[in-house]
Amino acid sequence: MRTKKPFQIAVYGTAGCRACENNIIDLHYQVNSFAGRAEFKFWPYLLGSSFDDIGDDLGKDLREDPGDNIGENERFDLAVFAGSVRNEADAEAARTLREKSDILLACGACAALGGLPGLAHLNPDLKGSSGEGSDLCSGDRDNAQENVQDNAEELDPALALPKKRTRVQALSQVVPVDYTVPGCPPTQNLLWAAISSILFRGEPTGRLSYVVSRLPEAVSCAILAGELPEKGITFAGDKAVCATCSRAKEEKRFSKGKRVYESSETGRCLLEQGLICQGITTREGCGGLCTGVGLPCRGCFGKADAVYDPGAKMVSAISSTFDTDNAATVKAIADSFIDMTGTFYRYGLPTQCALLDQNLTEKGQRNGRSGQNGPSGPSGG
Amino acid sequence: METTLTLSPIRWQETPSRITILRNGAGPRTYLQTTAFEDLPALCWGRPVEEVLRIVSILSPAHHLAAAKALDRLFGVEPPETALNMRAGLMQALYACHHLRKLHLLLSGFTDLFDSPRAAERAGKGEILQTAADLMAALHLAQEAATILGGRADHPISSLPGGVSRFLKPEYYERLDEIAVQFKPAVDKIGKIFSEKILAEDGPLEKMDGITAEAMGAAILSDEEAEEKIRFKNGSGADGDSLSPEAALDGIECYTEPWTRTPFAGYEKAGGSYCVGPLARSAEEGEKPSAMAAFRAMLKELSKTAAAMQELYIQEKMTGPSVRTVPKDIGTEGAAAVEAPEGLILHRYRVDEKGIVREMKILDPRVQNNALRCDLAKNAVDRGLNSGKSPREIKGLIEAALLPF
Repeated sequence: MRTKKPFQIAVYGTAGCRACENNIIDLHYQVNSFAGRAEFKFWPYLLGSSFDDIGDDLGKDLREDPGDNIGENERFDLAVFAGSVRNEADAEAARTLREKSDILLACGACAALGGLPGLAHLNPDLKGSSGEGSDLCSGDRDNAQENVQDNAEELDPALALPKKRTRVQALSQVVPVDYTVPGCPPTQNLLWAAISSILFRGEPTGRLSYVVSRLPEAVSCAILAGELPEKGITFAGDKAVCATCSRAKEEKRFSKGKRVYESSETGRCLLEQGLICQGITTREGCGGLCTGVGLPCRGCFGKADAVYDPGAKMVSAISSTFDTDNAATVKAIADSFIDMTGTFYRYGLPTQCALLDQNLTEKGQRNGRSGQNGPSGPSGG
Repeated sequence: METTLTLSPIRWQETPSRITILRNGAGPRTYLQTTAFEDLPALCWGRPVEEVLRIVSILSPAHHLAAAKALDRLFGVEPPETALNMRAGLMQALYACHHLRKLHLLLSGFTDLFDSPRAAERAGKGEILQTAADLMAALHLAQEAATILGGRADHPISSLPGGVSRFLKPEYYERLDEIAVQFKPAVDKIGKIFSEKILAEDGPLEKMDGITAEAMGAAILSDEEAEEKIRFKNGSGADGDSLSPEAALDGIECYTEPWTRTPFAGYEKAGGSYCVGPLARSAEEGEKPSAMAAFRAMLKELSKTAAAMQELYIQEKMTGPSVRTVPKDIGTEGAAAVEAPEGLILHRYRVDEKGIVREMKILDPRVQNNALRCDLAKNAVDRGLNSGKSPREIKGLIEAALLPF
């Protein structure tokens, strides 16, 4: 148990939306103060911290400030990584933080699963790439001046932008990850559970009771015993969202697949109404945030432990409940479900789709590490 | 000989960014570079159009409401009044969240906000720490309102084509009423401290006052909701074109430079580059754009937001016989604009016969403010170098100058 020196924390975000990082700031105010117990030593978004020494002679002042840049001998007790890995700068940051940190935590759906950016793989213009070019203001590739950034070196080498990688990847596909907190963004209780149980282990249980009551039993027991939970675990429930969803369940029989815009709130199980709701395949922990508002789950916590591939499980679950034996009707019902890949793998295409070769590295080499619990598992290699 | 200075990363930016300064004797050339990919339309391509409501909010929560409005039109449905009130209530909560977050980040530039109150007091930073705590308490209230109305605060989900997904339970609209009551004095207190101390003319940000961009045009959504027109002003403050969202989306050109991932938006008839957001909404004739002006505008808007919450967060507005008009048919195209906390947002979707997204255009405030941001960065660098400031000080000037945008 450490009581004197505050725990040293690094936080890094790639091109996400900053929701995960803002949530960490909010923890300090809304859950429990970090003051005197944890020190944020490296955080580009909040502190302007840099991996690199800065520039030429004018950069001297910055190089001499130990608070901003990672010194050669500096180490972190915990590094929190948010966002998917899309370019070489992200990958380099992942490798550096892995090397300099005792514990690396993948925070949020992007770092844990690949996240929404993984959908770029389904765009025919971008398939196999991580979405080069920037067309935030347009979906029209002709007008996007695609690849224009690749010519930046012609202006001046100093203006070159980080190279894109061939695939959008989760953190665990780049470096080994110790723990994962899923969610888009992670719920505050689970994020606090992860950070506090990693950092404050061995402390009186009163402080951690808030944490342990929200986690699977094995994890809770480890925390209460003052031990780090087993490496590789995900700070969320181990069952599926359906286990905590409050909607009324009767019998699942489909006569037609329904789109979200066609639905109206009835309080009944959304899947039973013919809507694609991924509560049956998704790891529990959010408390049914989306289903509680009458909207189907889209799987931002990743697949539950018992599920191998969420898409395959969904197809199996839906097709077994068609309310007909007639082949033509079955086909008609099946046709009413659209964009199943983009829906079933909304947050986890890079890591949880068995049909994608998960073990290919960016150079087309197999990395030899197999994932746990299915295609890649939230913290698999 | 050309020398290079790279200031990286620029903190408080939504997307990882850096400044590169090239010097070859003819004066410094400053580049504000966004280094990360921003390709949201590529992620939405091929999705059922109603699903974009949940995807676009990774840009910012207000994009959810812009998408909802565009989809109302695409599906040809008019949301019931209660649903419109709930969406308006959500937008007010998002204004509060956005502005309070920016102000909190500004305070983080003065001291370590994770410090203990006692240590901060010893260092003479106790008042800043207390202000940050007050500010975050107000932010917590706004987040709670956004969660009630949007399902989630960071990535709202509750809007659907034709309205919202569910009625509010009594405990929720009663809580909204309480939030509105508590939010007003909290914001008044924060506003007073910022106006009198932090943003005062002789306050700690005094040196920021001189960092301005060249006068440029502005674009805002007309106040008259029924009309929904984008009003442009030119650099001298004179009224320019007034366009429908569709016409604005056609008329505003985007172009990409090889050295940054964020495109630039321009509207020729408004003089090319223009700005959006609190600054554009509060622009006074002849006033040059600056971070200080934007922060002051945010404070005024926070006060307005508190008043709007008190008007909206009442049972009469938040309840009604219907919250949804369920669409019967899929259209082919829908476009809309919203005046979001960070500025004007425009969305347009074109879909196939199954309602699958085949073309999409989004104008985000960051794109529309990109020229302004580059100009402010250049000005900060020029002033910093001319006055012999260290790279650390120059970086600090740039970060504060860009924070509101």
